[in-house]
Amino acid sequence: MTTPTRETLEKALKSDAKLQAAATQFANELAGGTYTIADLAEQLGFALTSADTEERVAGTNLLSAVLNALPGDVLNSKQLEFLTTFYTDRLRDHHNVMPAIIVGLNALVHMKQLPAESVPLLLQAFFQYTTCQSQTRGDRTKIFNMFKYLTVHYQPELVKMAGDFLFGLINSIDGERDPRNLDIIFSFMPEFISQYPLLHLAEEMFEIFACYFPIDFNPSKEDPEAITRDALAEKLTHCLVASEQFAEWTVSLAVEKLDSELVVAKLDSIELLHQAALKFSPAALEPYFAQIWQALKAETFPGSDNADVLRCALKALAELLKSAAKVPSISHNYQSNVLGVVLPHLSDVHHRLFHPATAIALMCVSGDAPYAADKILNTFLLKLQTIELSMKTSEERIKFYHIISQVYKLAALRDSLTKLDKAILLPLQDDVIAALRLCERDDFDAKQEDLELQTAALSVLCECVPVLSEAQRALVYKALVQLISHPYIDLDFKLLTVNLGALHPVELQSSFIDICIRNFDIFSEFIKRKIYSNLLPLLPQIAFTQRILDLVMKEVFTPTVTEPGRLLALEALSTLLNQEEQRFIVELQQQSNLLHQLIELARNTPALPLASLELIAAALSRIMQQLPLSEQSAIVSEYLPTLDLQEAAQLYVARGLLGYLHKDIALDDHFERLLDDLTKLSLSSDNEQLRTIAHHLLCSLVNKMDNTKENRSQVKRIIHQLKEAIKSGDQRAVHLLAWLAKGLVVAGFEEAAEIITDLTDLLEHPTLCTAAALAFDVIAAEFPELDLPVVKFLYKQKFFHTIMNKLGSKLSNYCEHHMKAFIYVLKATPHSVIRLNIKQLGPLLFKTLDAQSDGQFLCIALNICNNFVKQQDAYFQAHLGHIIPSCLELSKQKTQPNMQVRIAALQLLYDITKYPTYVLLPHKVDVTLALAAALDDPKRLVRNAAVKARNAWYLVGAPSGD
Amino acid sequence: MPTEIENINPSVYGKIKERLITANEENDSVADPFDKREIFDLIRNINDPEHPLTLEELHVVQEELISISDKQNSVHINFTPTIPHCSMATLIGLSIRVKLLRSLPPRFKVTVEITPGTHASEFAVNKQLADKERVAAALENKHLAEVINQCISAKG
Repeated sequence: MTTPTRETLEKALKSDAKLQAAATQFANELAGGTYTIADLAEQLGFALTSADTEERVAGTNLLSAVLNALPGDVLNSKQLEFLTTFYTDRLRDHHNVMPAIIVGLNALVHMKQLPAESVPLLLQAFFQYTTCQSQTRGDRTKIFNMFKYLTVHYQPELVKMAGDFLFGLINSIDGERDPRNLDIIFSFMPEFISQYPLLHLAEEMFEIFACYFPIDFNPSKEDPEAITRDALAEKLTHCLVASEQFAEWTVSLAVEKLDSELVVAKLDSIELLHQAALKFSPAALEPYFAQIWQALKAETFPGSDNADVLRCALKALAELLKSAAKVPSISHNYQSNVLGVVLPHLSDVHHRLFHPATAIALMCVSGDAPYAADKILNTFLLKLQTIELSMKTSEERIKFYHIISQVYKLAALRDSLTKLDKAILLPLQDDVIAALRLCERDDFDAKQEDLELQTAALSVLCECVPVLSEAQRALVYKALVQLISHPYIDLDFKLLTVNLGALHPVELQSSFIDICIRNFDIFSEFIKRKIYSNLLPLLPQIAFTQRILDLVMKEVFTPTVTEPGRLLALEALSTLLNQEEQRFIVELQQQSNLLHQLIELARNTPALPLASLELIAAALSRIMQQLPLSEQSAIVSEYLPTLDLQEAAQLYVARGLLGYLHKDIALDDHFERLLDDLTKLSLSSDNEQLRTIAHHLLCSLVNKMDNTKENRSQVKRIIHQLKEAIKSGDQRAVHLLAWLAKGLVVAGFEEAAEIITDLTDLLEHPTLCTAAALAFDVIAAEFPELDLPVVKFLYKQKFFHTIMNKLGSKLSNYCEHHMKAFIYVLKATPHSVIRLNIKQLGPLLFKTLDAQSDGQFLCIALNICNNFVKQQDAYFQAHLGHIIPSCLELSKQKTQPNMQVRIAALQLLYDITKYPTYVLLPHKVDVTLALAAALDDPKRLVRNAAVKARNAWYLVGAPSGD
Repeated sequence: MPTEIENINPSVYGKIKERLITANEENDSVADPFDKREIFDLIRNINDPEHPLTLEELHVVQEELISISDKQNSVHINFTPTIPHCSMATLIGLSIRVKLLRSLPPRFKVTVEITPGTHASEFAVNKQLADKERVAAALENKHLAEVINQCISAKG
């Protein structure tokens, strides 16, 4: 193939589509080396130099399109130089040609072999002959993208152009209004500004960005690229702090805009100061610190109403102080400025400025901890020395302690706790310890005190453990021993002992742990419980592990231990197993065979109370869960055959072993026996607790069972057996059937449908209807303590629909027991499912509210309504005329004796006020009048709800009522 | 609202803890009479017109300065302005009145007065607050109603 003829070219120039197709074809041919770009340009000469503007535009367009379609490495530097000269000459052409030239230039600068020296020529011509801002939006985007590419790839050449390039760039950007272009500019400029010398043009450069600050922009909803205001603002902020030369102007800009009334402007200004603190060196910012502090002080001291502004301002201040901390002289200057204002207000807790002052003081500590913490602690120390330490609870002291503990904490975070002045710390800590030891005094009445001072003192001590002197530690240990052996006081100091244990294990052991353990037997139950709860957190520290473990084991397993000592020990064991991780528990089991010991304990101790058995079962299942599958399976086959489930202790053991057994362990060998035994127990026992355990176990068992023919026939057999019992009117059988159904429904077995049909039929039974309604509650409700690992996807929805269909006709006639059963099901149905079916369910719910039924059902129905109203549901909005009178009726004590219902109705009325005003106004007068009755309710909680609802209704449509 | 704040650094006090719910209160068959604390709970969260603080935090209202007789259907409240020439005293009193008007059953006769000896024009303010017609007229005033609604639409 040869160079395209003039004819081909003329054809190509006729339309845009043809032009693009031809350009792609030519580019392919050029890349293939069929002819060179010079040949093409020569052939195209007639169009490029035509006197007709239209034709020139089309010709240039074609050439640019070809360049655009070419791969970057086809043209050599000579050809590129030639093309650059051509395009720079064309820049003088008619403005109609410009778009085509821009496309071409953009393609050229992206070529790999473009000679670097052509770039300055190209740019100079560009700046000289055109102005960027007179181009269309799309062309400007191309220009900015070109600048972006050039600044990254031709840095040395551009630096040589010095002011010319900067000036050209500033002129091009100046006046840009399109957010999409601004987004490009703001993205690449920070990098550029930080790397190029700005010469005398720094202020001009700053000004082109400053004029956009703070950004005010509302993106249109249809915009697919969706540039948000916040994204633009963030990028702009980076531009404004890109060079240290900007420091002076940035600060005055931020301070000026901080004065604005607009929250957005305030937040942007504060963020600008924050970024300035991050980017600029302390030396650059120091001259303007006074100005910044004045501005921030106005926002933080006493502080504006807007929590966001306050938070950000404090953050910016902290950042400023933190970055200054690198240079001590500057930091001390800042700190003395800030602390000078704040410290005087720290000594009176009753002053309005106390809280703002503490917030700022804490920021100072987080900036330069050693310097500020000393000053602040000293202020507190002086003040504390003037307040007498007395028995009376001192609000001031408590507040001081809380702040002191935060100061300590911040100092520790900055690793400067040990750098603080001991002359201040020691007396301060003495004061705190003295406050803690108040409770050792004889006249201390622990029953009356609320111990807040002691709690506050403990919180300080927790933080200052590393800087306590030895004498102080001795006093602390003494106080701890007193506290733990005190007959009434129950203070939580776990954190303190953990911190002490980590730093001084030997001391803690001899002065605290040993004393607790040595005298353990003589302590009362209350003290023993305290000791357990305070020692267990120390367990992970290796120094104490064995000692504490020994204590617990001894108390659990020594046969001579009496109740309630064992119960306490079992509680401790339970906590221990729950707090430790898997590795620890597995090791413990391997070393001491804890499982076996516990089972033996349960089986061999006569008359162990049910509460203890419960704890043993919990401990067993916790251990089982942590063991590997093979071991779980071995344990089950070892112990299960020997258990007699009709006996309480052994039933509990079975629950411990099987309750949380992994679902992959097949129980097929024992399945039949377990089903029979548990069914027998449930039908014959009178002990509700034991029956509950049997039910839970059965439910979990059928849920986990393998889907085999044998297993299912076993279950069918039991169901059949239960049906027989039901025929003779046995309520327990109905209950048990419900539990079986629950396990089956959750796992999605077919047998569930059969049971549900039976239960539905029972709703019409003369004596068993109530039990049948309750059965639906059992099936639908969630039991967190029950392990149902096999869960069919969306089973709740499926269950709901099954029930809907089964009860459908009865529900439309509002039969009482059917309604009850259905309300139970609704309680557990996910909100989204109810919403999908609200058209059918709505009338039912309203009917329930009108019917004078049981309080429990009304509460459930009101709660469901409340979920809808909270989301401002449209269906409920359309039926407010029905709901509001029902609720008003339910809120009256005369008609509704159950206070929970009255409260729920009032809460619903309150939530209704969130609907738009125009919907509510027609009801306003009726509601406010009718609610007056509830204000005089005999129950205070109802009155409180009524006050809340009535006040909210008064504000509906009132001036500034929101 | 005036642009200049009269008392820039008032004393601020702690809030009392939320009332604990007793077993009796949860029992349907026991009646709970109105008491001081309940009235105090109604008005303690009213906002001060000048500061973002509640009347309780400024000690403008205090539980001890409330007296109530459930049987005789009367409530008497004294409130203490932060400074003796506080121009907001009437507004605060009005806010307390309106809040109680909306929150107490109509059987109560409510009296709101300035604590004796704590305000320069105590007598005049008390007279205004006791005048039912004036209170009603004040609520007709759109601007005044707006300020009052802002004060009593407490967050809690």
